[in-house]
Amino acid sequence: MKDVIVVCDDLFGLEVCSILEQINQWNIGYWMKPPYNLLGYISDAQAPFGDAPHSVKRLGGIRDWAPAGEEKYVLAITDPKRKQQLAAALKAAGFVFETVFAPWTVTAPVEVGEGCVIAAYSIKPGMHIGDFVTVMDSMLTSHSVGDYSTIMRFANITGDVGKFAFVGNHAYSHLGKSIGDYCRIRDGAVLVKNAKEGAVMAGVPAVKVKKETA
Amino acid sequence: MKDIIIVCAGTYGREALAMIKEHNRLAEIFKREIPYRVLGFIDDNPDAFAGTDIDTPILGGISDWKPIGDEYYVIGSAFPAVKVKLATMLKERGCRFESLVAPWSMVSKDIEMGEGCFVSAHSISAGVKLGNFVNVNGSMLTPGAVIGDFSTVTGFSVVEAATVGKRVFVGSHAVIPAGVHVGDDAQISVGSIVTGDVEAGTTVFGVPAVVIQ
Repeated sequence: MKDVIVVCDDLFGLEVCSILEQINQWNIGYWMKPPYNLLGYISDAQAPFGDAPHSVKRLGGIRDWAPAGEEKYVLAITDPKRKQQLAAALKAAGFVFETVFAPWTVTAPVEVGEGCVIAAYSIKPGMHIGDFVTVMDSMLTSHSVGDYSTIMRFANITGDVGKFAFVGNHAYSHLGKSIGDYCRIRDGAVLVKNAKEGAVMAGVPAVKVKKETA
Repeated sequence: MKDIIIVCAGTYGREALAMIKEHNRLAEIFKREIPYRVLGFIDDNPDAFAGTDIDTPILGGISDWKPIGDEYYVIGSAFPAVKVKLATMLKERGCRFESLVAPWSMVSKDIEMGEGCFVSAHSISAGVKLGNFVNVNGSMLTPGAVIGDFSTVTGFSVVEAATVGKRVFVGSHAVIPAGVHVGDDAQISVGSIVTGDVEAGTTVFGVPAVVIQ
């Protein structure tokens, strides 16, 4: 059983804690040992979970935290740039990151980098997944997902995803349309063309959003 | 073991029966106490199962039904207005309600859930609060989500850390992002991507969702 500590800024930390608990339950359900011993979370936010019911222990802040032993860290952050910033700083301070890969994800072997949280519905066999990639409950048939990208829930992505991309809930990329580096695909966007690097796309069909409002 | 009577013999009522049968089947496999015994359905249409091979009996009509013993009730309906009517009527007559959670749903133990809920969700993370008589069907509720009494969240929707009022109907494939307040009696139409607060009593539709009623 691995000791793990979740690193988070907000409620997404609690969602990742739930995923770790689900992974344990899954293994127990198949008469296997639960893999994770969740020690708690660290966050620089005073109350990242607000008044949401939870039983995960707060261990302290991130800034002044010193890793001490064999425990591994799970980066529970959705913003790509924030992931890069934290990963760089914490690795320099000796944090060792765990790649969490849900056992229920429908897949054959894939290449996965370090510090990822993959709780996808299904991903394509042979896919290349970079470092610190976050994939929530979605279907991916891309060839690759680049470093620090995030794909949220119930999305259906058929084309390659670059690095530092953020794909919102229920986003769809049609017939292999790709998502470039640094793109932000809003919730529910249906891509019918490749999303160029840095584009913010929204709508059905998705168009480039002129002003950055969120 | 709890005795159960299912109110309404329609689609949802039959799904409740399937959930209970699956619970019992798994309990038998894992040698746990069998949790439920279904006494039957109540429905104002005594021929509701005509033409089907359902052998669970319809015990009587709803309009004049009174509790018969220690049994618990499950409402087989997802419509907020119907849930309000049936729950109010039956509670007045002394009926108690059971919250039913499907064995195939991934539901965290760190949630608050009221009475009479019907959960066949895809997943409910820690940190979620469900009121009384809330239906969650095939959707994802993430930490911070608050769902008010008698509301229903249907297929493949995502509710983030938003507050949904009472008697709200959230249609399939909707997204309600963090920070949004959805007022009582609102309706979120199928496929709507909500981007801001939804006023009580309004119906929204579209990507992004706008008021249509």
